[in-house]
Amino acid sequence: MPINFQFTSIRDPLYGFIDLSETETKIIGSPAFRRLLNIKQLSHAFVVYPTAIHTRFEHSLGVVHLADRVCTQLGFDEEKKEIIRLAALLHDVGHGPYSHLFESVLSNVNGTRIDHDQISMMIIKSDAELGSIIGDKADKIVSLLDKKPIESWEPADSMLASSIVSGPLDVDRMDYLRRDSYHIGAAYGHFDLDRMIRTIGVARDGDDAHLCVLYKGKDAVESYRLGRYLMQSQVYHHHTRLIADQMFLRALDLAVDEDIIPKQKLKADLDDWSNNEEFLEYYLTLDDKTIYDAIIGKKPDSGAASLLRMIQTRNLFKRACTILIEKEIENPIKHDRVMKMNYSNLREFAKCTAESLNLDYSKIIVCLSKVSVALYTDEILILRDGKPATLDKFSPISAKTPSVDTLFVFSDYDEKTRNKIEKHVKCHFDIPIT
Amino acid sequence: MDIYETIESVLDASKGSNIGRTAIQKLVYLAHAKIPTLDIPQYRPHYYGPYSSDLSLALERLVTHHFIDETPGRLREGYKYRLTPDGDTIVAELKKHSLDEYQKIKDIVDKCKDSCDLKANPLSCAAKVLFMQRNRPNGEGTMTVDEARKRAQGFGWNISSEDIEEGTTVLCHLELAKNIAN
Repeated sequence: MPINFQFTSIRDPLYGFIDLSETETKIIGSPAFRRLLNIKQLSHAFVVYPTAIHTRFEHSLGVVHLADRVCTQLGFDEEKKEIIRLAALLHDVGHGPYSHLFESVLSNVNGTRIDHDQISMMIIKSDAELGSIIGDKADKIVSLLDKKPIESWEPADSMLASSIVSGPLDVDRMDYLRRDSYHIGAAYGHFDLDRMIRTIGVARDGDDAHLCVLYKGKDAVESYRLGRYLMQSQVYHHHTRLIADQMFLRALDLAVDEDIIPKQKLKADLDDWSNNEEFLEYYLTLDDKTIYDAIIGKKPDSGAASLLRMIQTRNLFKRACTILIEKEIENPIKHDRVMKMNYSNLREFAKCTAESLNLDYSKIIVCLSKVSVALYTDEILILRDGKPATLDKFSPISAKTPSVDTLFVFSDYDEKTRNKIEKHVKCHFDIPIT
Repeated sequence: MDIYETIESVLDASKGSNIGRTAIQKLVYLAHAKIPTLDIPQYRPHYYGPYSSDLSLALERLVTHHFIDETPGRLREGYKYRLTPDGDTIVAELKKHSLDEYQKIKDIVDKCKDSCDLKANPLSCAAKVLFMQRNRPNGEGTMTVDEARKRAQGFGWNISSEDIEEGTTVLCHLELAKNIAN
């Protein structure tokens, strides 16, 4: 029986209506998926852009809509389209409170990098209600998200299917750029979506197949890449948003240290996904609201609660020091050390700075903002005269440019003390004080 | 050594050869098999063999920070990588505290150079064979060519008997070809 992909239609500000199948409709009613209604797409960007309060829920629906369009463009049959649409719908189901921020906490607690993709796959495989809805399609959906071949599919189809949901030309980015732009009211992320989708094609190389854009669509891709870069610098890495995000992260660290958030329940088994019952049971209770409530409600006098209340009242830390690593740190050994700093190195550096100046560590945050010049990352393939080549070969604006990596020190101290902090940090990196 | 230092060491050890992303990915994978003390992120079976997305990110960061120079190759050849003068300074520094690990990496790169001239395809085949051997469900016994081909299909790898032979040759040079039947 043919699959009815128009079982339900849901209004959407970008696409008018988004059509869903019966299975998809059931999924969006499940608790695991509805949790996304309380996870903001842009974390704390609302401290800068008050209307940036859209959620992972609506983004996931948008990704389904675009996945369908790309599937149609590439001529996928109904059965494969169903799996690709389901993978698109569920690709973000593993996000934690404030989207990517919670990944840092999980990675710290578990001593290894954990991202929402892995948790999405765990949930798809383990959640009882989702399992009862998607049944034996779960394995195919997980293979697609995990970039593994789907049994019974041609390898080329598996590759293309994975690339539609995650890759240089994926529908995830296409949706979030436009959706984020729409919600913040800035035009940076707008690009010629229709042209891009209509010119998406396939470059075949033996048994391999890659998503690409036909030569005539290259200008639409240029605008898409430029949009990504501008959104990165203007929105995703806006310094005020970073301050709020970093204060939230510090609050989470304190909450874990003080067992306000039970550390044991954040431990996941990455080797055996079926062994995560306790972890997932707890994780699925967490969202943007419950995490604040849990911390502030459980220990209102704690340092963690105090930081969260500061975010709520927009009483944010201020910049004490900003260092453009590439431009300002001339000593290659020091430059190398800063570039490699991870989350715990940065915390350590904040502690040392506080100690050296006899200040309170809880009022100093050090963070590294990496605006990887997204315009130039990932190889986007252009198909010209039947031959694929990277966009860089045709683009007049594709010259390699260093990423913009910035070391920030944020502080809750007054201006005079912030100046002292700046002087100390710049001295540490042999940067002249102006 | 962390992932950044390992990449820099591989490039220093391969000076004079034009190596690309795939070769770097596979050399680091093989190096880690010989030198478990290297702090290398997890590899997963991607379409082109064992692959670490974290390594890709580290390489990209080293390029954007001018420790590594990236130049485009010919059509479909991909980018080629070499250390910049700042990258040389970093390697000189790391040799002061991790000379033993550096020497081991150099030895591995030299052996791969002898056996396959650091070409991407044989290195990729070697990494695939080693990955399959290390991730066998039973882990014991000898992996035959037929078994390797069958297991490769499960990872989406289209690998011929010649490819397996080519990969095994590289692994033999590295003394990593245990339990693999030629």
